[in-house]
Amino acid sequence: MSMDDEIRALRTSVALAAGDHVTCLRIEGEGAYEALDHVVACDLFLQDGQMRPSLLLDEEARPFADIHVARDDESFFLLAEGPSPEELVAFLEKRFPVGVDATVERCDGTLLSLHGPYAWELCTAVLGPDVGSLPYLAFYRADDAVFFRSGKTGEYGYDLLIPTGEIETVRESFLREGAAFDLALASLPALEQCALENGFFNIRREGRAGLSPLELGLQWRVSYRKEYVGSAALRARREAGAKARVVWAVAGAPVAEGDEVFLDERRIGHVLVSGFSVIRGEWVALLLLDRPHAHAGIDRYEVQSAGERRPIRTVSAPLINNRSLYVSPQRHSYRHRDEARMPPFVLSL
Amino acid sequence: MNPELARYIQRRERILDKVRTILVERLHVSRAPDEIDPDAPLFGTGLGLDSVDAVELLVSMESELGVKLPHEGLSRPAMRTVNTLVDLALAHGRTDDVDG
Repeated sequence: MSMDDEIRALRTSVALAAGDHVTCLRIEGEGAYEALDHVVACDLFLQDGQMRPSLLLDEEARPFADIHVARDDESFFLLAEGPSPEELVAFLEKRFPVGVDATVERCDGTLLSLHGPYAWELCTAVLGPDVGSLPYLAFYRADDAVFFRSGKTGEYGYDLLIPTGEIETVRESFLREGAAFDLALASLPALEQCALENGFFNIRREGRAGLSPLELGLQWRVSYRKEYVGSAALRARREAGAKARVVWAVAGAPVAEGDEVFLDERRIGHVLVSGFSVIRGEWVALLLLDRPHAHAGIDRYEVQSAGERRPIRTVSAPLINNRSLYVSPQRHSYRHRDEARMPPFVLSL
Repeated sequence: MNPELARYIQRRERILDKVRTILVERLHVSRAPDEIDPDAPLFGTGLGLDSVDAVELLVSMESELGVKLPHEGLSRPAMRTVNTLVDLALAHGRTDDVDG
């Protein structure tokens, strides 16, 4: 199956993906809250069973890991992308406050993920209604498995932590039941393209550009009300003012990472990430533009790509009018879907 | 900068400021305006709005920026991020509220 087909399935039905790019850790001990609060960039006001997206920053306020933190009674799960498991554990153990009683363990099990406007329905068929009906950013434990409702594609998304001994059985169940949903297997590049189209942060791409949450537009994931690793540097950057900011764009011709962006003859930024959107039928890109020019809705900028100037149009994220916005577990099913009644993927306001 | 582009950016920035003010003063988002990034998600854990806030948001967008939704189908795509609200105001709001 091509990546285009993987993405089409993810946007219209369901796609199953491996979760080996995600590390799941469990933080336990009397000081678990205190230890995590010192390293996680968001406020940790979480009820039992809730989760929240945030970041681990380094001392220079650059993202080290893209995380979801989830509260499980007095313990926490940390789902993290970016560093290897060993790097992640070392980062935490080095930065936890001295003398605080907190242990970091890798979760037992293997992660699978399910994405798509009908992912909830396939989850219900395979794992039961308690999983399929999970609210966004909540998790549910059953025996030795943990089911997280999150996702970074703009569609219904589930991260499923399955005991390693049961992973093949569960995977086979998804493949068997998924036949009725035209289930596809999605690769990491397909997930990343969907994340780009929906304005989700990618630690492996723009996250390695040396930028802070200010330039990355991720201040909603951080707190200015507490002290944590990177908070002092972040405040200093905020006081100095960010000189650039990310903006999404679309283009009819290919644009590539590193291409420079111009307004007339003035260089105003460059392309951080790009990819072809089979859903939009055009190229989508994440630009880093000088602050005065970093706005959506502008069609006067050009990219210098492959020796020529190519027009580009800045747009607001998300760039996809996701089907999941219109599919309700109370009223819809994949079997009785009516494609003709679905709104277009690209909608102009 | 081309005068037309400069006017567009100025207008967009002023609407962005008004949307931020609505979020802080009417929706009680506990953030300083400059912490509210243009592409910040409105709901879920983005800025933390919920379905009750959505009604207040639409009412405020109409009273403060003259936004009238041309049809119900635009409400979901328009209320995803701060920037989609700005797009909505640019397309369906008053044109006289951001010049002064």
